[in-house]
Amino acid sequence: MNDAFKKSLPRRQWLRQTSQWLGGGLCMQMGGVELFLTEPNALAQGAVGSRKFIQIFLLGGWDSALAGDPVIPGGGKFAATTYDSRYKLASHGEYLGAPQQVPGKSNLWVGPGLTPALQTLSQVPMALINGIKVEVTAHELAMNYIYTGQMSLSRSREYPSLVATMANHMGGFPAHIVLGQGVPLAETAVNNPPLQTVDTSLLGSMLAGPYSNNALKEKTIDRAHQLIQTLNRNFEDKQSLAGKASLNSWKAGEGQLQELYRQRFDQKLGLTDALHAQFATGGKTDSPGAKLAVGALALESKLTKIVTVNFGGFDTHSNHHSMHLPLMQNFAKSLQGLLDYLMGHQDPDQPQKKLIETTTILITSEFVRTPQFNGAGGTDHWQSGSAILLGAGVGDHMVFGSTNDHGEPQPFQSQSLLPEHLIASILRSFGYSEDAKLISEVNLNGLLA
Amino acid sequence: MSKKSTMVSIKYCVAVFGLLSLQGCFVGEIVCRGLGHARESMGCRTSNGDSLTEDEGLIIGGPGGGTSPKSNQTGFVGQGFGLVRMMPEQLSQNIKTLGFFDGHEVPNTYTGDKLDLLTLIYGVPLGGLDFETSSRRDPLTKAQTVLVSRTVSYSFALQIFYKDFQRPAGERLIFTSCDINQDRPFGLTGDADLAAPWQEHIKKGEVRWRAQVDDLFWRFLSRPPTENEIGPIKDLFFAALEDQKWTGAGWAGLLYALLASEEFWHL
Repeated sequence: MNDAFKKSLPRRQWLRQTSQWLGGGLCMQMGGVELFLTEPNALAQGAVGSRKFIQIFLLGGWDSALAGDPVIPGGGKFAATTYDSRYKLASHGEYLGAPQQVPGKSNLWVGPGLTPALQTLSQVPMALINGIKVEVTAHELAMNYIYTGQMSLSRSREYPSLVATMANHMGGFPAHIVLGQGVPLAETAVNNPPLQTVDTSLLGSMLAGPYSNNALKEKTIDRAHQLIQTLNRNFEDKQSLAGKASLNSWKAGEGQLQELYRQRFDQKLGLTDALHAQFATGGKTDSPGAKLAVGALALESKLTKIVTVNFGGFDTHSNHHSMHLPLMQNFAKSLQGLLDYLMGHQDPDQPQKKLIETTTILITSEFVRTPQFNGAGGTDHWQSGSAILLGAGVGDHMVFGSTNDHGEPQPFQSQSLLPEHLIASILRSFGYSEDAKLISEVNLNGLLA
Repeated sequence: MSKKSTMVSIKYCVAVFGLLSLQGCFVGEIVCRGLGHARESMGCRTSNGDSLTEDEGLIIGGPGGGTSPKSNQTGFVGQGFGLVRMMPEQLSQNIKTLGFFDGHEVPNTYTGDKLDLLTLIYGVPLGGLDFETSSRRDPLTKAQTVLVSRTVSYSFALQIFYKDFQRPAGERLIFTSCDINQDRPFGLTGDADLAAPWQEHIKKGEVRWRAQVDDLFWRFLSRPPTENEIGPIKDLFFAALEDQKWTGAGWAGLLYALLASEEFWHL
């Protein structure tokens, strides 16, 4: 085997030769630039401010009539003739449920999908944003529009999502946590990328590195790390000034890892049986409840200040009733767990406050669904969006926008309510006015303090 | 680089590019490399003063006998240049080649492209940003990238080791030079107190152990280990033996270290 490696030019040598032959000048420049630019991210503890943000994105397009937009003037939407008659009766003959008023909030009504969280919702500041005109109903385009507040019809131009923009300002490492599929990052991916995992069990083990695994014991791992340092030192000694400069940020990153490993986030982010029960995880580590639980733990353990949780299944083009409502209700149980947790735990940055007092939660989806069923008993994409805001800074009892009995967006204060209005308003409330201005001059006054 | 060759190089750079800068010299060196046979006559030299030769970059060394390269043999060619991290697909390919793994690409049913599984799982493109996420690569490594690199390195080191370990001794693909369970370096606490035949037995095993270490370095870094690396490698094995009573833990640790080293992740 050794001979085979030596007889031919090894692959790595080919890559090195090619790289240096064709791109050496550029590489040198990159190294040179790094001499001046290397400024490693601090760990998240060094990030500015103490306000926190959780974005919950229900992928696929949620049925807002089951959630935060169940009423039209005169009563519940399901009673309207424009809504499919099957909204009145579920497949098993059960009544889907009338809209319910959030206790103590006379103008806030929610559909049967959120009923499990009703009592908890009454205890936190809550605002509804309905009838957002999204214009596009292709998943990726609409998703990006809602995430970013900016419409891009081209894959070649990506805008940063709300969370990415906020994380870019806050800095720190990791800038933000994404539990689920990726979010639009655009240029923020260069400076402040997130940590992303699909399965929550990966996040802790990733942050604790080899120490989270019992295959090698601590002493052996420590020796392996000493060997890595020797290998790296030898490697760096052979490099020119430009070569050494190219390695600066890698070295800085390695230095931060030691501190990160020391904190043992695998233990801090672990889901106990009690948390599994509280967040209605179903015993799974990739369920919505598990993601919300780990998101809450990430805030409490000071790993980050910004968390995105997303999960799919809401694109119910068939069997809408038997699939969508249970999904929503399961989510509502997990949401209740999240709100209870945030109400019961202190903010690590401000121990005199509970996390719910410093954390703003945005729940949304790329669009809503048609009032009428298709031939497969499902619902399709509809040109309207909706959102729910909860927690810190939220204008309690507020409702912005509305839809008619066809589920169509209605003008709000004589103009269309657009995703950019919502995103810009949130950015402003966090103090990022310049970024907000680039997205929209409009502010939804009263939505957020 | 000698004064004479430096002057030649600078003159050449000035003539071709009109640049009287250090960077111009680097550019000139690239051109020299590109000219192949003509480069020697043009006075091209590496940064350490050696002439460039046809087999430049091929490090001559031998496994098994503990042959160590000269100090300047482990360096990269083109020492005047900076380094770049490998692209995600290069890393995946390298890891796949090393560990004989398949299935690290998954088809994207929407676009027909193949997605890199490592990127898909960990979110962070390992070699910096690629075309999927940005129009430009990230020139600065982030702690996230190093974190993911360590995670991947550790995970793959264990997989590579156990995959080969589970094969019958004669059918192993990577650990072919030694007895994976027995051969180890001499020098563990108490070794010196053993009877002479036992010491001899361990020392014979150390020769095979060293051959395997050399083999792994060739596989992962395209070079044999230097003498100052052998000491920490022995320490790693001693720790594994004291802590876990098994040389296998040492091999897994060595694989992890090689995979996590800067040298593996950079060109």
